[in-house]
Amino acid sequence: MSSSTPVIDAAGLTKAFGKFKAVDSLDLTVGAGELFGFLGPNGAGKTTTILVIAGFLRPTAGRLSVFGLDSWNDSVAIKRRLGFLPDLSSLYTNLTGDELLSFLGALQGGDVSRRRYELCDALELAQADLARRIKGYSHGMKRKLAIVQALQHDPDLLVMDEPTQGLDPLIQQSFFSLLRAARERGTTIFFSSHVLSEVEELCERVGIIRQGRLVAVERVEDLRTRRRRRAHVRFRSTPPADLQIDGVEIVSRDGQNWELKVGADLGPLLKELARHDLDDLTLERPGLEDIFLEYYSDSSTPNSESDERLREEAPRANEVSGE
Amino acid sequence: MTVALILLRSTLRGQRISIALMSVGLLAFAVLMSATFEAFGVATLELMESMPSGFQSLLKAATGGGSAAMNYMAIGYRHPVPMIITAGFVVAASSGAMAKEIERGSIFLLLSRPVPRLHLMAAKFASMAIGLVAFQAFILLGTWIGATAYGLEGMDYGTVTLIMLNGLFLGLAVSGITFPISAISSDGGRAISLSAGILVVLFFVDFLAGTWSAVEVVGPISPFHYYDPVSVVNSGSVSALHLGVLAAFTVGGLTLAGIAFNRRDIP
Repeated sequence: MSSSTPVIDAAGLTKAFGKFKAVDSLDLTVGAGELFGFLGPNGAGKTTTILVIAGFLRPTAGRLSVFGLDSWNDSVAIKRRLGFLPDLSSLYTNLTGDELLSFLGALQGGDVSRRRYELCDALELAQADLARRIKGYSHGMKRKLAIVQALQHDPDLLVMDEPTQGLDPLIQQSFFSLLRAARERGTTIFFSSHVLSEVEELCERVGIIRQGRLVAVERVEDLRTRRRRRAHVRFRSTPPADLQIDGVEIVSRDGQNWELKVGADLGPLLKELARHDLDDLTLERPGLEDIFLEYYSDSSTPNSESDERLREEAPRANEVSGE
Repeated sequence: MTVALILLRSTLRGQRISIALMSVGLLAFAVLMSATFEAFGVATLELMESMPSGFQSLLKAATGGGSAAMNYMAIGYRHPVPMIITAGFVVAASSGAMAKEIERGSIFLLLSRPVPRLHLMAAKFASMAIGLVAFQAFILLGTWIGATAYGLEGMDYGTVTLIMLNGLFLGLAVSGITFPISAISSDGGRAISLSAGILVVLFFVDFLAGTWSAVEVVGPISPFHYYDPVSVVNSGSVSALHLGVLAAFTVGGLTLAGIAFNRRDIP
């Protein structure tokens, strides 16, 4: 594989189960050393895409290559360089943590013991815990063990499905540090999430999937710049009856307090507001949550059920991540 | 150590307690058979001989050669206890091979390593085959212990070994039916119930074919048709055709399972 070859390269990738298309005509490239976030609510097609990348599902149509190799036919060769963290998995609960990691390390090949202990230290998995049978582990400890098994062989590509589920905020930060360190070593990281804040914190680029279709792939920074900001205005005197400015939308009005959405060009709004007596004006850069919701509500194919679910999930996701 | 050997060692480790318990159970059954020979043996054989020949063949108990003790033991080897233990182990081991790994999600940990799917299946099959060899060895050992302890006369351990070989081939043939079911299923419980159901039907196909001429022709589709300890005692040898057909069940079934497992999606 040349250095310019993308690590993940999907063209027209489709995965159908019977008549249902879980992933539909997905085009996506992820370059070497990139930290890529894959966003979407439950049922959007994130896990299906990840299982195709990891060689568990065969594409129905289109093509997916990983390291320049076919994801289905060359899956064994790909897995020599892959670290995989599935969404839900059983961890052979009759084994101890140490036995499981040794077993999986042996299957991967090579000596992984030193790296394993570094990872366990970082995630606060004590030797005493590793000597216990997994059946006695909490959900969070099982999740830590799953993270260690995915990282212990220093893979070139790390594919993770909802990796932070069950991790407390402190361990989550340690985990993010591990990911950043892995990326600095050149590891490509592809992970799915519906926790928007963690994608915002970690990723350079993000893909947004809805009903199996990729609706956007952009740099997080570009998305923020391009998308509309939120402005909070508090009028000192009586506010105007209305604001008729191109690219400005009134979101809510509560007496003197107005909330607006503003496009990239702030000039017309500021010019208009200068004509009024203001008590306060704050501008918020758009969070990924706003962008995400906008993509969902902008779509020409309405999907009120998943939009509603997304709106319910987004604030919860921020609560979990401590926003 | 190769990937397949690592998987085999791990699978055997998971099955070792059940293999050990079932082996001891089969040994105890063989000892018990010897222990009951004095009390029931002659009466049982006389009862069998007094039955119409059709009924004798139904029970695969048409004695005609070998000692009374050998015939009694041979009838015992087809008793439901060893048959159910052996078939039950094969069903559980083969459904646990793939379907259960998929059901509980552990397959994602295994197959996200550079592990060819066929190596995983081969390791699971080898582990099950080792269990079957252990079962037959313990039945043989139990037979020797019991026959020695209770002074059974006319025992021919060469012939008993051939019966064990026939039993081993039957167990492997049963796996030729249950492995393809496991290979296409994502639900361990469903794979077990479907496998068990099919085996019960095949057992009764063999049973009915022995007594009812209208269905006699379908008897050979059942692998149980080719396991006949009494006829091994009568002839002093095991039919090469029977072993060949049982081997074909195994090879054919495993080939199908391998193709299906290699091509299937793991959702």
